[in-house]
Amino acid sequence: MQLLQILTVQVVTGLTNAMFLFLIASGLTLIFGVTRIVNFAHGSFYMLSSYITYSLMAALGPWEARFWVSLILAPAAVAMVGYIIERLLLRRIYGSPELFQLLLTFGLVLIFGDLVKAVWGTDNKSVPVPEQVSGSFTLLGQQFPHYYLLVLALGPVVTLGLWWVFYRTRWGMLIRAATEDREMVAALGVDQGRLFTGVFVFGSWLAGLGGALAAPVMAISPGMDTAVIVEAFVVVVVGGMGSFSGALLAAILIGILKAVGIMIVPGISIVLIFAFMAVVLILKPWGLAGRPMAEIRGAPPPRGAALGPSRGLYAAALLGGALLLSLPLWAGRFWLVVAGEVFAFGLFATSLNLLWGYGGMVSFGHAAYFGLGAYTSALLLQKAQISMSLCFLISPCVAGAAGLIFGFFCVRLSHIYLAMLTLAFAQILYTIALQWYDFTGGDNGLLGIWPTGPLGTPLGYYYLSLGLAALGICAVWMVVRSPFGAALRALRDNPARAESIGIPVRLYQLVAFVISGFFSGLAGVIFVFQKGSVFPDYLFVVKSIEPLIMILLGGMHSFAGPLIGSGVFKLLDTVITSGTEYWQAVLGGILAGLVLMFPQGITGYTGRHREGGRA
Amino acid sequence: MESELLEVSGLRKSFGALAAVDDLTLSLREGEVRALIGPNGAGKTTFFNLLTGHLRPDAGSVRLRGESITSMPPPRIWRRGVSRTFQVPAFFASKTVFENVQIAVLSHLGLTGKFYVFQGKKGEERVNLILERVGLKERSGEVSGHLSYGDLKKLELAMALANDPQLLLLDEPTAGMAPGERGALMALVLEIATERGLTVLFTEHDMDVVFSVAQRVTVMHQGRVVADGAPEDVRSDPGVQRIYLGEDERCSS
Repeated sequence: MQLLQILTVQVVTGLTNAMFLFLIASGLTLIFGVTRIVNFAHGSFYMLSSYITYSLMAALGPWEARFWVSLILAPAAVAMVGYIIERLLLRRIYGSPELFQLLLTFGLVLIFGDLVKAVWGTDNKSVPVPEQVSGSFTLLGQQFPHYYLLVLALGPVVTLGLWWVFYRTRWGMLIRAATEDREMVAALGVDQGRLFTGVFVFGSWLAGLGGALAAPVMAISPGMDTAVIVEAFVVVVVGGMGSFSGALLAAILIGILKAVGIMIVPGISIVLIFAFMAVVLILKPWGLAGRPMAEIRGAPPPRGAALGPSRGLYAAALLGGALLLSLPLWAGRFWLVVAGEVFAFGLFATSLNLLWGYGGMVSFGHAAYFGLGAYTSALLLQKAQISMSLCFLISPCVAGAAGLIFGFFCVRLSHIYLAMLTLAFAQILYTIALQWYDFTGGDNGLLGIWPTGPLGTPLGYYYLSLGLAALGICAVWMVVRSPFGAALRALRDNPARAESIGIPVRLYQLVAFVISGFFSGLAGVIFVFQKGSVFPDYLFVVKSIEPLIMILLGGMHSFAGPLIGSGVFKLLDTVITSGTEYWQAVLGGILAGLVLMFPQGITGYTGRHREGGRA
Repeated sequence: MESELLEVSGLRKSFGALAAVDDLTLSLREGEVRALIGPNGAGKTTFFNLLTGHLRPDAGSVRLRGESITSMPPPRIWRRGVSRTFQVPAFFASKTVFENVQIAVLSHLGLTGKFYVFQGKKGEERVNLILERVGLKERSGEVSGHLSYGDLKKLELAMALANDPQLLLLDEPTAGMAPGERGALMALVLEIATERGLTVLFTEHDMDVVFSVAQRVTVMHQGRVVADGAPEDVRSDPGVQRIYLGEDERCSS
């Protein structure tokens, strides 16, 4: 009986959470289905709506209808925000490669995150449960708030409403048609621009509704955007991108799995969710109710890195090498630290570009390997008293092994699904690092990871970082220029053709994952001994995005691009961080600006001009 | 002369309720040049994809020199000496003409797994020989994405020759080319096939090309072989005429 009672509590709580998840996920899946944009900022809309509800409740005073008025106003305000974003920003990048769209919306996440901190502060806010439903009811001897009942009842109402919109209105019919084949809908004379705007606004409103409804039962805090977006992604991917019934089914399954999972593996129930997603994607690569994505006709062919002339590169490498070797002679300690970080991130971005630029696989969770390298070293040093040199040997191998395991699953998928799965794996590691307090120190991290021995001095470690990063970069350079690298670019350009000339596509993609993971891990080790500490942040999605931004900054189409990009990025970071506490918002602004200015990537832009006469 | 290079028996592949290839049986003699014709949707491309491993058959078997290659993955079938070209040219758009053929040659030499040596001009001699043979030597340094359609077809042929194939499968090798160019390309294919003793199976919609090049013609309709024989016999076959021209008995060519 005891177990049954606990189970009841968990299932009811799980179902309530499932409704919030469904509201966000349905908006996300709707927007993706029609516009093909994966809207990272959807969690931000949800968060924004919760905060607006909080402020409205405060402003409206002790009026008894204040919650219900807020429930109408807050989602409407968020829908307005959605309208502005679609008209001003998204509209310009519908024709861009999907990753650029993902990066732009992620830039918005960063901007909204800082905006919320600036307006509402960083402490948790809460909204009282409306008086009319403040009571509770008893089920199997357990007390539940009436508000849960309201949410659970609203769920089917919203689902029915959505069904009515999609199957009984002309607008809904157009949406379903556009999800199937948007070019055909455009060819039939439907104004695509208006349809896209409408869909985005409607999707934003759904997220806003979720945020306002969740306000009385959730702690409203600045981190809730990323927490909810990751779960919503899982729901959308498990359900099948673009599918409503799939999203509903997945939201219920995941809501319950999460609540019941807390009973079985307290603390790391999120791991269960990602494991569930991995299993679903392996058995049904398009999700429970999804279908293979229709090709978008007229989309630009993906552009990737090619082998350029190398003479200029050698000269630049020589010059850069001389500059960096002599840096301690003419630059202060501060700049040595900055340069050291550039080495680590240069290697990190270069190894990611092996996968993205050369292999055509977008990893959205490369922080997994970077952080794994860092954590392995920290743990080896602290728990096993293993020497620094052995850390440098073992940690990249651990990261490479993770590349083997994660890659094994990821190479079965393509495009956005691959990106989402890489992100999921990174989030699993992040959650473990955050919640396995006894082992990883949780959010306190591990401290005192300083280099030892003759290379333990700041100057010595500067040269060690430089040497190891250079070694790693040269190794990646070799891979790129090797027959394997040629095969990698071949399978990126045309997988079917590559298979027909004897290239085992998935195997080679997996090998690329391992190599990339190994060197990202090395970058992580270099970094951890520079900082002397490691935190779960090293595994967080922001750390996965940073090297992607570096690659975008410097250009993915040349080998040196990511290196230059990491230098520029760290300089900006250093300059801006000293000037403002809202570094993330600035970063987001840079990201959005880059994507809007160069919708095909920086070198894609120059490349188009170079080839202009011939195409 | 009498040895069978390829034996296909009872091959079947369905997509939902549609049997794209339905109990197909066919064999190719060593060194023969065979045309596979049939109206759109007859299952020709599906059949090719079954032969090269891009699709797995639901039933039936494919044997090359008596050994089963049924359901093998494409790279292994290629290594057994079965090469192909695609209906829509498939090539590596970011690479030069030279690099496109080079990667196929390196793959044939078993070198593509090496990530610790420089590629450089490995296999250059062989690549140049092939490029010369198909007439693309002068375009060697050009990025393949800039080639004309006709040159792309040649490039595909060049890549297909990199593994010294025994069997060459050409899926509409002249589709999209100007009529004048078609004859020239097929003449080239025929020359190379004769030189190397290659067996060629090609699909084609241009009947002039079919009847001037093929030694034998197989006709597919609704996933099955409906006629098979010398070009002139197939041409006068009333069943084939019905498929192409409709039911009207008065039509004849």
